[in-house]
Amino acid sequence: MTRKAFVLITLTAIGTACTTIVDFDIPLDKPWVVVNSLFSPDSVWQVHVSYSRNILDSRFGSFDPVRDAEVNILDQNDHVIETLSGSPDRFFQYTYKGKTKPTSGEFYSVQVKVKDKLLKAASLSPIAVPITSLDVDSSAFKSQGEAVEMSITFKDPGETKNFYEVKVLRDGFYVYNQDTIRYVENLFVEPVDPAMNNDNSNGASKLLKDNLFNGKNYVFRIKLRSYRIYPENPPRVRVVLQSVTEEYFRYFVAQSLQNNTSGDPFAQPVQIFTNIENGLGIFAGYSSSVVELK
Amino acid sequence: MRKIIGLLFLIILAFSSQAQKFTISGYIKDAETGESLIGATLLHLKTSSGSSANTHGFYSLTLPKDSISLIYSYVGYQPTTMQFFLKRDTVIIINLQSSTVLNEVVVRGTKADPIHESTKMSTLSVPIEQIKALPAFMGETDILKVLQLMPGVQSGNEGSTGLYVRGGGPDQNLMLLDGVPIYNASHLFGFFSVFNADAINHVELIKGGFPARYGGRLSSVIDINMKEGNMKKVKGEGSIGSISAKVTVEGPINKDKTSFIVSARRTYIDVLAQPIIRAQAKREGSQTTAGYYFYDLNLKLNHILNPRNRLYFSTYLGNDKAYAKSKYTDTYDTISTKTDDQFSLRWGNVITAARWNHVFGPKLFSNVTTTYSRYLFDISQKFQETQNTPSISEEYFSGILYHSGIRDWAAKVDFDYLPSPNHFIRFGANNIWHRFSPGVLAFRSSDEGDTTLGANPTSAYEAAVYAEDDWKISQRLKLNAGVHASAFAVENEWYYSIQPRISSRFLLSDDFSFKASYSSMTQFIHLLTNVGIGLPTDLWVPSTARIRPQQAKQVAIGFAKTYKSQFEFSLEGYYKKMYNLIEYKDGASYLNIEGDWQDKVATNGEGESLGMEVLIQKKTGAVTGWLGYTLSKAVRQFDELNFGKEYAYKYDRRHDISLAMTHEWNKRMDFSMAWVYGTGNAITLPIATYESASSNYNSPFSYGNSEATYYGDRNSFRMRSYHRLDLSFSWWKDKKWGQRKWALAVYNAYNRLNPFFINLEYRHDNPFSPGSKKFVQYSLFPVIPSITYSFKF
Repeated sequence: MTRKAFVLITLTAIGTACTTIVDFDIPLDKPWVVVNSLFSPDSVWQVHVSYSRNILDSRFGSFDPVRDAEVNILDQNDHVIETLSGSPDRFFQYTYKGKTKPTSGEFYSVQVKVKDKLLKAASLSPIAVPITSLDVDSSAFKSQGEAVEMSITFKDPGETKNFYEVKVLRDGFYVYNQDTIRYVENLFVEPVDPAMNNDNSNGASKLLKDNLFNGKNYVFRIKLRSYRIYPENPPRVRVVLQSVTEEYFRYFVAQSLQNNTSGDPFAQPVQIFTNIENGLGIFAGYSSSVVELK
Repeated sequence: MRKIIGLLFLIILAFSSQAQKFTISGYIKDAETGESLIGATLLHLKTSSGSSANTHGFYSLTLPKDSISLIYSYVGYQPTTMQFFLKRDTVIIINLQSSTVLNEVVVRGTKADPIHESTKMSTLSVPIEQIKALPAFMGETDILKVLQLMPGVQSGNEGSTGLYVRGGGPDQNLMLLDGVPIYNASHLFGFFSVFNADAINHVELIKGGFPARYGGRLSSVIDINMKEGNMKKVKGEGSIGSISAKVTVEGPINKDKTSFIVSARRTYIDVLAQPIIRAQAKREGSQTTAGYYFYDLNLKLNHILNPRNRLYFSTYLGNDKAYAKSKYTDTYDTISTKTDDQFSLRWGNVITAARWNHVFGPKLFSNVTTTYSRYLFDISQKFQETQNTPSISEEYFSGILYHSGIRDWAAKVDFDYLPSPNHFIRFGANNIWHRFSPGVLAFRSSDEGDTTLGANPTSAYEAAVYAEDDWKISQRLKLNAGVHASAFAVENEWYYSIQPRISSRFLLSDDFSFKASYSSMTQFIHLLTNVGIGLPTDLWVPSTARIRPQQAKQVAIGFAKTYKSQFEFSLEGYYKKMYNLIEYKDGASYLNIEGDWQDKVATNGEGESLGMEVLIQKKTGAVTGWLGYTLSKAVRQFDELNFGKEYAYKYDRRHDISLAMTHEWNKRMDFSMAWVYGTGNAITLPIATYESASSNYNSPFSYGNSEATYYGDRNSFRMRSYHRLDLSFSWWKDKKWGQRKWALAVYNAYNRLNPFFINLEYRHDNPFSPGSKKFVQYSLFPVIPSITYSFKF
């Protein structure tokens, strides 16, 4: 309501205001090179390399991929483990893929050479923290639609600063041209504890840091709405606890905040964290513990 | 400590017992009104010893037994000379005659308190008559907008009354009305200030070299004194302008004993717009009323008990209110539905002060004050719907209320002690009981019951003691040295602060001096604001166990010169360092009222500000005014913001020029103008978009290319420069009942489209074109003419 009132006042002010189109000296000819790679021990190395677009570029859709990059994965002693090769992927993007997988607990770095520019980043492949128990309270169904409460218990390692991402994944399918297409989607995770109901989200999933439960058993209680669309034929649902690096945490918290505040002219713009030297994007590791709901 | 105090008194005693000396004391007043003339000076011509009247008009000067000649003077008044043989302590109540009564051409000032003589630096006082003579936005004279024309003071956004002094924030200004702090000095979202110029006697702005008697804010003191009320006869004045009308009446209740002044002001846009709103509502078949107005009321009573005792009571009450009410009835078949929707937005201040002045003797003056100050903001909406069918009646309601504010009770005692012409000692103590209500949202509906969100009110206690001496060490060297010690208690946490202050002047010649000052300041309260346009949602919050008090240290050096008794010239350089600043984190918005405010702010920030200010002022003659120039730089650094890198403060303004001038052609006409130029405000703009990483699985129906925006460094771009010319032409006429005046003013005379904010938008050349992205600047005020009718009787 407060929001409505002030938006109304603001719009009134804007409505009566004069406008002028202004030019700012934003260099049009120097796109940034963007490197994105989220790696886990469950999959082979994958790195996206693309160019940024000037803010005044009015094109929509995919960003121009960098097809002539040299992408190397290095270990913590700076020895090249693998040079990745690029190819188009099924989402019409261009991906540099490897054949090996990261190992939990190891540090890695990426070096991307585009023409005479060298981009670098480093991150840890964290060790997964297991979910020690998962309790589902189906009696907590609410009046509006189906909802369920879950308690996810895990033991936080005390000696380090830890970061987590909690996701609930549901399998889905649809029929297109008589073909059944299967997919996985994230359900929206809503913490029960208001203290955890902050901006630390990554889209539908929730990001946590261990400053409130360092070294302790922690029970993270969440609420899920639209948990099962078809109670008579329930889809497969998995609860995922990802151990993530601090880079991963900072990147996605800022990204989510930027999305949430876009369009609010009174919000301070959000700068998204990057650990890519000489470029933009993110190179960060995560490891998952998964429990499937029966 | 006791030994030091004893030694100090012995030294003072030694100074004062060198010869047989007597003290001349009393009050300096306006002969016509009996109003105290704050800062009026008296000078002993033979020894060049002098003194000045304090904020209550009291003065004291101790001189040797001799035949003496004293000259009393004040800006805008004819100097008066007194010659007599001083052989005992003498009380003189001097009444100065206003220049307007004596001269054909009105002069706004005479030679008084020359700038090169005083230890004060970074201090400006603008005569209230000069403030009223300058062009006024929509015909409404505004004290804060005139102060914005001074070097070292930035205005923030277009049209705003915000003050950003020497790189400081809007919360770092101590705005005192009759000694009581005002927490939100804005009406109409910051376009007007709460100070009604008709009720004001004296305005002083201190930007640095703070005397020890002031404390609690880092960057400035704006000390505003209300008029005391005419002791001689009933007088009044008023005006009707484009958006508001005001009236002031003052006079004696008991001649030369008790006086009053009452001043009221109200906007009437809501009244004028009512017929239009009603006609529109009638067409739509509803009963709708909506509007916005603000009003304020100043009242002061002044009673002289006897020559030694005076009582004052002053109060200010002001509110802004926006409202909308809508009733609608609909009948379909046998079902009738009635809805009632009400919305209200309100904010305002109430302040009250009760004061007792007591003259202990010719050398010691005291002032005891108790004050109350409250700022409250609330916003509410109620909705009610009743549905009636032949068999059943159903009712639904919802209500939502958000309120925030701050409330202070305070008591203070101040002493002025003038043991000799070479010392002016001030000391005192004060206590403030704060209560902060940083945002509570209450929701009630027939479906979901009651919900309350937000922070609990917090109480805090602030105390301070101070002592300072304006010490004339030699004819050439004079200094003001003092210390302000303060403490703050909140949530079982105590903070203490010792703040040394010193400012000095060294006369290089009879009319040219060098000045230097150092001041250390501590501020225990913070303002959460992220747009800086005086929105009423800004929250005052205390230092807490997590949020430490703000601190600042400032040094300044400069030169002051008086030229031909008409022009004053000052050149100052300053450096200010601020610590423990807070600021909203990235993404925080004033629209977001959920959660603990402490989680939304970046803490332990540092600020740095340095600059050079030039001011050339002409206070006397038919043409008066000033030219100011500021070259400055202000930056901030927070570990949690801008990846820890230093960035330009939003109101960092490299160049700032202001020219203000009034010209009185004759007794019936005057002309005034003000021109300002400032480097554009620093802003953060998006530079690029890029592919963002995604760790989520999305349903194929929502799959899209993830896009992030790259902003670069915070505040790394500049808006277009700001400049504006305001003009005003007034003519007045004497009538049987008094005087009437017409003022024709033009705000932004050459229609400069100054930036308010910048938005990235798609712009289409024609309705069928795909459009292209452009940065679009929004400006608020084009050329705005206004006419004001005012009267005096």
